[in-house]
Amino acid sequence: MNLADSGLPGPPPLVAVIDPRILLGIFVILVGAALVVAVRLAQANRDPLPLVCCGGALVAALNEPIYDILGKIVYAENNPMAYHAFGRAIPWFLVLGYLPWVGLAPYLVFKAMQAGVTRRTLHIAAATLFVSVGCVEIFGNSLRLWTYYGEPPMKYLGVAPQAVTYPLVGGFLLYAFASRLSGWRRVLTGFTISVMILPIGYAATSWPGYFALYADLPPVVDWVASAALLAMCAAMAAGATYLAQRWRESVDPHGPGSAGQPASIRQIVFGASLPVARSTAGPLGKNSS
Amino acid sequence: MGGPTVVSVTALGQRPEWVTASSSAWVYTLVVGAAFVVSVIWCVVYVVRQRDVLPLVMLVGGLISMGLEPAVDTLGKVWYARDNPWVVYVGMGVPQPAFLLMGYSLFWGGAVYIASRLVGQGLSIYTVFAAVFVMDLIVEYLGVSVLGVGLYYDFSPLKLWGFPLWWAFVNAAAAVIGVWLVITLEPRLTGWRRAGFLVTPATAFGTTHAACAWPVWLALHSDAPPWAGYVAAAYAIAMSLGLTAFVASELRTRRAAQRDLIIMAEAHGAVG
Repeated sequence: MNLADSGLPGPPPLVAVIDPRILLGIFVILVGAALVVAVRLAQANRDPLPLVCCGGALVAALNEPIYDILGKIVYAENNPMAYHAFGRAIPWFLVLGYLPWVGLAPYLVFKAMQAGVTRRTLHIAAATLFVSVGCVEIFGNSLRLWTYYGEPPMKYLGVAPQAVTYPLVGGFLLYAFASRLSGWRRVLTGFTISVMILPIGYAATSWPGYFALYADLPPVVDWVASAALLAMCAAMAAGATYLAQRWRESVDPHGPGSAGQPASIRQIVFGASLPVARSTAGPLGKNSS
Repeated sequence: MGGPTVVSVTALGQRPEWVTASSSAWVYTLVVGAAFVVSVIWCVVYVVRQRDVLPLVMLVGGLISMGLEPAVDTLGKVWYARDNPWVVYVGMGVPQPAFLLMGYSLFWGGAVYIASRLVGQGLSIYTVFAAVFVMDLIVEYLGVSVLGVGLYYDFSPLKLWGFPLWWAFVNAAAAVIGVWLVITLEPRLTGWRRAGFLVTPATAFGTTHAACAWPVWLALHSDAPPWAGYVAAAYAIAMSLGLTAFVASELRTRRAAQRDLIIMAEAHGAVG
């Protein structure tokens, strides 16, 4: 018995015009390359964090059907499927895709922040990520591998803008919290950040779009909601790079504009003009071991 | 490509559309409504006297945050009877009564603002968490178990007398995150930038629920066995407490930095 109503329309049926295994093969290659990079970084730095982030990202892939429903996204039925939830089938390529974008990318951003890469460069990198995701979206939509069945402009803002938030915010959180830890604390913190950064990034920025997609509002309200979504994505990304810059100024004695000695996160808030912190306790109240 | 089909709701599980609101639902609406009217009047007086629009902006932000209720209702299996008094709109197929609109404004806007003032004066954020936890229990049990304005249907872990207790942990953490955002952003969003607080309640609410509750949502909408739901609820509770601990640590750091500033100012004054 159907109980559907106009408030929650079902997705349209969709069949890809090309063999979806081609896309899966492309993603397998991409993911393989990302894994190689992660392994080499782990070996070079003697640090399991890159691999932990990749593992956490694969767990985060379980969030996918939630944002597919909220963002009105559906995948071609002939995609090889990884799992079913919320009445949706989630393709393998998508689950694997979490590894480079949600796992490795935040770790690379973290290392870039730690190395003192400028905000401008990070923003260019974020824009590159945005373009890369946009290209993937155009590719996938044109070949009917997936589609957005909501109305514009929200249907165009379901994935690409958010792709600049979770890598930058995830990178900052790894920098601010995991970098100062070692052992099981580092692993647990990195894994937790990797698991939650995608839902945080989507929920914090995309709720206006989700509301507009499911409310019968005048077009002008849809455009306002979409503008709010874009503004919050940009604000979140800029906020992450700003905090990372201030964090580095407070903890890197050799970097430009540094405070000279390591300090606690208080200098993030009040700037480098404060006296050196009496305690080097980090945000978790513990010194790195 | 064909037009939309009507299969997704059944895929999300049958909703208890046969449920009717009790006659006492009017009481709930009137009580919440009265509190809302008092809050609006207080905010307007405050704006005029103190020339600070923040409490009013937060109240409006709380209204805006109600736009998230249909999403968490759908994901968390919550239902409000269609014949509830004054259904303002239907979101994702779930009726949204007026007491939700006013309640969101009061809770995620007004209460968060008041809590931010108290925390600024030294109240522990853990006290805020506990207070919101208790307030949520009262509101939920009054609405669900006593007045029957809505219900949490199907299986949900830790459901006690009709209310899944993990919700209260996540709601309390959402208030904590809201307080933290207000305290952090208030010095920066001055003047016309106060408008930025319009999105703060929704951002705090949505982000916290998304970060903490997603495993429970997954368990509710999959073929996972009940024990997986309890594991997911444990994760949600742990994350809620973890986020609260994070905010507590941040606030300690902030207060220490403020003391440093005072010491610096006094030292410069002594030298000068």
